Amino acid sequence: MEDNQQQQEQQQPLFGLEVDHLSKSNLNEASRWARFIAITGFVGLGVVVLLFAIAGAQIADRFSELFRVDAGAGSVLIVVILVAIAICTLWLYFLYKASNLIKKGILASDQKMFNEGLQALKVYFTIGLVFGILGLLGNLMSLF
Amino acid sequence: MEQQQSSLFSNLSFDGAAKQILKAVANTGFLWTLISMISSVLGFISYFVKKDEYEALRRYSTDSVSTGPNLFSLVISLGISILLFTYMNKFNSLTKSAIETNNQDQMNEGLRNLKNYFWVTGIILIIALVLITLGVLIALLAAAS
Repeated sequence: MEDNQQQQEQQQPLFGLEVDHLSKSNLNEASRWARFIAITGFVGLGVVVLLFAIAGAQIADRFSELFRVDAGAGSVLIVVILVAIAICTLWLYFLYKASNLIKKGILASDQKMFNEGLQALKVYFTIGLVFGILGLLGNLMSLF
Repeated sequence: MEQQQSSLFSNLSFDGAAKQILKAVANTGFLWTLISMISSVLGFISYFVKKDEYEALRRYSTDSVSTGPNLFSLVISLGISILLFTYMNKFNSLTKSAIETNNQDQMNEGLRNLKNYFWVTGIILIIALVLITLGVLIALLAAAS
């Protein structure tokens, strides 16, 4: 019991929690994957925007057919999708910003940059939470 | 030796502000994955509640979008949301506990789970990209022949 307590005390750093070698390694790896996810997301959203630019009219007609609404409603649906794409771009921007700032903060040992990166990650998760709540409401509505 | 030096002279730490932000990151991430998991479970329940309706739609409709979700995609979605929730739950509990008790090992373990969360998301994204590319290629080949 006492040995265990001593061991725990030894594991605790002298000046609080450090971003030690293992923390840096984990955060760097997380940043790398976050960057990959953000860039892939940007490319995917870019492809969707390109598709709308090339075949916007046909897509609006197809939407009208699929959801059995008139042609005007299909165009409104496209506008809604484009707004959603803009929001998703902003969302991914925060992930990209977080990955960049955390990585740079670690490399330069810059506390301010590191904290800003964590802040951007917080915003990314908050927007994700809002999307999650909207998805939950959508599923709840589909139940009744 | 090099590791010890970099740790000794590195002025990067989880200071007061970083701790507060990290706690908020852990909380929101945990809530997000929890809500996503509940949403997936609801989607699953909804499928079984409206199973007859979807099957009737499938029988009489030629549209793939208007026939509702299929069981396979719902199972995959539920599996992914449970996996992501597991990592985020561990990140949340370990990070918050590490901040409260100043435990470096717990902090590292928490961050390892955050890394795993992004790693799993990235791998799922790669698999989805491969499947989409294959689908487009098959569609193009079918259209050409």
